[in-house]
Parts: sequence; C-alpha cells; structure tokens
Amino acid sequence: MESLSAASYQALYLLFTGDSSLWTIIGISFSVSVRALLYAAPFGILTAFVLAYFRFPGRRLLVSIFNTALSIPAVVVGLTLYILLSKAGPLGAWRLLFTQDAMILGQMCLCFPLLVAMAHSALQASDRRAWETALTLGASPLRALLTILHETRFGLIGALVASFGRIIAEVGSSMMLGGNILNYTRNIPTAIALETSKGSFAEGIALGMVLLFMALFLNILLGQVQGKGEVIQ
Amino acid sequence: MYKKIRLLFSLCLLWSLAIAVQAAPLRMATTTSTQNSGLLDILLPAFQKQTGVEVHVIAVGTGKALKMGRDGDVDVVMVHAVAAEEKFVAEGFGTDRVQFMYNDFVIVGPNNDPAAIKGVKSVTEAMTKIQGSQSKFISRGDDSGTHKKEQALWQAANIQPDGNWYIEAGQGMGKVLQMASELDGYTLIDRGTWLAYKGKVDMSLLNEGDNQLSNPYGVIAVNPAKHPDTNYADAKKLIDWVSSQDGQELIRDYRLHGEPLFIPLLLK
Amino acid sequence: MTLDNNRPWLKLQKLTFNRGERIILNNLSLDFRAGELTLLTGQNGSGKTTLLRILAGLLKPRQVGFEIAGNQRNWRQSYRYLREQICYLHQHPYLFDCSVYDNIAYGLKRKKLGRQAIGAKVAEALELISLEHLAKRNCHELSGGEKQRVAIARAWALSPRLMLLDEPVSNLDKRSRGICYDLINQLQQQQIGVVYTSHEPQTGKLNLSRHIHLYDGELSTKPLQTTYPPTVIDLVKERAGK
Repeated sequence: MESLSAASYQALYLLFTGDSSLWTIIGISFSVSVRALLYAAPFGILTAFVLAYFRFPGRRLLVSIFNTALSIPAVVVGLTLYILLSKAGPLGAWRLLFTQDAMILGQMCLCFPLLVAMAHSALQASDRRAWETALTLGASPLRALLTILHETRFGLIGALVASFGRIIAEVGSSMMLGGNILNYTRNIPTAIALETSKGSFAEGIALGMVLLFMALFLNILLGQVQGKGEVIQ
Repeated sequence: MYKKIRLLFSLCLLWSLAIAVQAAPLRMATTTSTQNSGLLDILLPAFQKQTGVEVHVIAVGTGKALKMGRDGDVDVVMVHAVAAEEKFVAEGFGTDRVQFMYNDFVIVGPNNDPAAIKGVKSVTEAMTKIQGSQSKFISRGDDSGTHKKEQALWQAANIQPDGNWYIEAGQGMGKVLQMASELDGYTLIDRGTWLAYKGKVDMSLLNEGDNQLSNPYGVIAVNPAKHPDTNYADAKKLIDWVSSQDGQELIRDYRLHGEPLFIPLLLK
Repeated sequence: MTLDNNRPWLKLQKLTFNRGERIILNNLSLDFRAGELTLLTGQNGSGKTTLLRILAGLLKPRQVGFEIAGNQRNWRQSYRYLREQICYLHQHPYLFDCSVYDNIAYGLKRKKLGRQAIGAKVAEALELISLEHLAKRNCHELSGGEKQRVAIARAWALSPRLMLLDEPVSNLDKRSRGICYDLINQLQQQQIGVVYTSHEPQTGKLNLSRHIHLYDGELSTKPLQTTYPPTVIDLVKERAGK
C-alpha cells in the first residue's frame, strides 16, 4: 500500500520541480477564484451596507435569506446554473457552459451569501456616528460609504478572505460548470477529484498541499491584519 | 468463577469471529459505466441467491478500481482495460483473471454530423475525419478504460490529438456525454452508458461496429499472497459463477432499453 | 458673503418629528442668525439630539419647511445645503481611524481643495485648538478632551455657518471644559453660530444669545437681553405655572 508519507514526498517533489501541468492547474484556480471574488465583492459589500444601514420592509427577511444561503451546497448552485446555462436552458444562447466564465459565475454565486453575511455583521457592528460624521463634513453618500468601508476594513478583509477560502476549495460547482477541461477549466479541487478517481494520490496530495499552504498563508495574513486592528481600538 | 468468565469470554470471541466471517461481504471495485449499465443489478442478486455471498459494489474510475485492488481495499475487481488488467496481474496484485464478456464502444456526436462520420466503416477513418474537420471531440481524460481505448484508437489512426478541438474533460462518462451535447462535440462512449443516456441528450449514434471498438470485461481476484486479509474464497466464487453457464446466460439475456448490451465470451 | 446680524440666514418652520405614534417634536419654528450662541436644554428624550440632527440635514422629519436667504424650501431641496453649512458634532465625537491631520483634512478634501490649501487650513485649525504637536498621532491615542477639540477643529476648518455641539462638555474634566468653552467663544467671535445642548446650564463662561428649552416636544424660548445668567430660567416651571 502506498503510504501517506511517500505520496506527500512525491507531492513535494512535483511542486518544487515546477511540474508544469501542476502549476497550470494552480494558476487556473487562482485566476478564476480571484476574478470571481473581485466581481462579487462590490455587489456583496454594497448589499451588506444597504442591509446594515437602511431600514426598509423585508430587510430582516433578506438577512435571513442570505444566512440560509450560506448552507446551500456547491453542487446545488452548480446544478441550478447548469440548468440555466445549458443549451436547452433560458441562458443557453450565451454559450457559457464549460468555460471559465461559467466557473466564475458559479463561484460568485457561492461566495456572495458568505460575503454579504460576514460584511453585514462587520458593518452592523460599525459605528453609526461615522456615517453621520462623514455626511456632516460634506461627504457625498458614496464618499461616506467609502469612509465606512475604510473604517470597517478589518472586518471586510476577513469577509473577503473567508469567501476566497470557500471558493478556492470548492469542487461541486466548478466541476459541473467548468467541466474539468485540461488547461482551461481544471482547477485545484476538480483536479484533486480527478487524480483521486485515477488513483494517483501523489498529485492529489500535492494539490491539496497547495490549498493547505494557501489557507495557512491567508490565515496568518488575516491574523496580522486583524491584530493590527485590535491595537488601535 | 474465573474459569467460567474465561469460557464465556472465549465463547463471545468465537461467536463474534463467526459473525465476522459469515457476514463479511465481498467487496468489488468496478467502473461507473459497469454500474450504470444495470447489469450488476441482475447478476449480483442471482449470485447471492445461489451462493449466499453478498457483494458490495464500489463504483469508481478504472484507475482507482485497480488502485483499490492494489492496496487491498477490495477483494475483487471488475474492469474493462485489457492492458492495465494484464499489468495488474503481472505485478502480482491480481490472480484468476477471466475475460467473461464484452460490449462495444460507439462514437456519438451532433445530429448534423459535421465531420460526416456516419456510415464510415473503419473507426480510425472516422476519427481522422473528426480531426480533419476540426470538430470538437470530448475526451474522458481520466485514465479510465474508455479513455485508454480512445487513446489507442487515436494511435491507430496515427493522430496526436491536440489543439482547441480536442477537449480533455476529466470526468465520468455521463458528464462527458452531457458536455459533448452542450458543446456540439463527438465522443467515444460505451454502448451501455449511451443507451442509458441517449434520451436525455440531443445527439446521435454515428459510428459503430468496427472490431477495434470491442470492449472486453475482466474480473480479477485480489491476490491473497499480497493481501492475506482479503476475501479470496468468495472472490473466486464470483469469478467462477460469472463464467458458469448460469451467469453467462444471464449476461446474454440482459436487455437495456430493449437492446442487448453484453455478449458473453464463455457460453458453451 | 456677509450677512446682517439681525436678519436670520436660516428659518426652520413647522417642524414635526415622530417616532411611530409618539410625537417627539411638535410644530417647532426657529430662526438662526450669524454668530448666535444658543443653549438648548431639555430632559432626556425631549428631542434635543433629534432637533440637532434634523438641523444638520441628517434626519428627515415628517414635516418641515426651511427659509434659506428668503426662499422657501422643503427638506429635499435643503438637506444638501444644511449639510454644507452646518456641522453636527456627536456627544462623543467620532474620529476616523487615521491621523489627527487626516481627520481635520477630511472635509477639506471633499471640497476639492489643493494640497497646499488643505495643509494651511489644517495648520490653522490645529493652532486654534493648540494641538499642533499631535498632528501625526492616530486619533485612537487621544484623550477625551483632545478628541473633542479635534472634532471642533475638523468642523471649524470647513467654515460652517452653524456648529451643533451635542453635550460637548458633559464627559470632560474641569480643565477640558474650560478649554472647550474658550473654543466656543472663539467660534462666536468668528461669527460662527453655535447651538449646544446641556443638562446643566453651567454657562458662566459663555456669552449666550438665547436659551431654548424643549418641553413635551414644544419650544420655550427666552431671548436674553443681558449677560447670562442673571438667574437660571426654569421654563418648565414657568409653563406649569401658566
């Protein structure tokens, strides 16, 4: 039986010898997830801001919906979008299925509720006086919004990091929407699924280690940022 | 008193051992396409009825199925990848390999058949036409039996599949068929999966019948010399049974959507 | 633009504000003149802060009218003007998470002033509050009194017509109070109107123009002719006596 340590050793070898197919997969993973996060972040944070700062009918319901959406499995998101984007589906004419754009769309849908929920709680906890102070000092509402975001930046960065963590490691929707196409839509999680199904565990573990390193790195970064936030409170 | 406890304890141990031996089901790794064909749902209950052995089926890709056998995680493997099977046996991981049936692969594609492969006798010629017309071809790309067959066919056609038209999906057969349907591409598929899915996709069967498309199935016991804790006795029972007259007749008479799917190899 | 001291630059008319069923402010009218120092008193929950926030254009009341430079305006037409001309300071002023300098520069940047103009104005503001040495300090490191002064300087830098100070001295020690009163007097000398609220009319140091007392959502004003305070006017009792 192939031991875990042997597989890990081979995995490290693959990583550090710059195995090109491995690094292509890593590159695709990051480029797709970073884009998904960049597209989702403005909408997500704006939604969170509206939910936290304005009172309107249905606000509580919306907050509950976003909190519930946190637990929707990735495959359900993938399946829903698949049906929409399929040739026979209402958005079939866009021809998006099995492209990186479809993966980005799926990941946006996945991280959106998490982004909204976490940014909402950060903004909810923020000081209302900041908003009024900005306005009374002659800031436009848009400028005041940016000021609030700056004031709550530590919480918001936390929301972004957590969202990124969710989508970079997500396999269900990427597999369905991207199709795991070599050199195009094969990212780290779908590649792990494939390598596992092929029985080549070393490649799977190498990719898993990349995810692990990245999670560690992000968490250290987040700890640093939030640590800085605590000092000046 | 002490003796009594010891006796009781030994009895319990014996009893639990007996249970363990009796209840241990036969673990079989096979491919998803084999399971999707529905044949096992007919074959295995009949086997259990005759021998009392219950079979737990773990359906994975060919590579993983063989890997599970290699690691001793299963007792018997049923796959369809001749070269990999031979290697598995040659390396001493498998024993008692029997080729007991076959089905065939077909090429399916868009209804309008842009590469005009319909009716072409030779499958290598059909594949040359697909490449020549730069029509999309969706490959399993997952080291499965089907993928290996496809690679062998490209090789036979003297083509190095590469470029935008050749899409390596890395997913199971059902998913790859859906992708081919969505992307208007061709793909190589085993007849069983095609029959199971053809109502759900907007595609046609375009090429079949070439000898090269035959797909023999092998069943292999995991070598007890490598993994003594496997259930070799029941594995052997299964291998003998699928090769027997009863098993072979069941395979011959199996119908999927009214069509025969497998041809037994050992029917007398 | 110079304005005649005796002519109000802003008239608040028929202000009504309610929270649900409860009427907080009922049909109030008030005038504002340049350089006027107004003390606003009233019990907890009498609507002092609400009135200030409406004046600052931060809160939309159910009903209100404004007369700005002789023109009648509704809330929608005036709130931007109010935000421009009037600065509201919270009881505990909010300072942004950056340096003292950047805090004071915040409003100036919104006015699209050049770097040098901003620098000069911030220096002037720091001189006003005598905190030049803290310019680079992050605001979270300041004491309560220093925060209050920075907030006043930040508002002053924008040259508002009117500054609304919500209980500016209630949480300060004696020394800081003194500094704060001096600052308010300086604002008044520069023709900046000030409305400040307080529980205790302990205003010996201030040159009050009028005292407004909120009672039961309505207004009792007593324009002051002489130096304040000859006596502490208890308008509540006066009303009750009527």
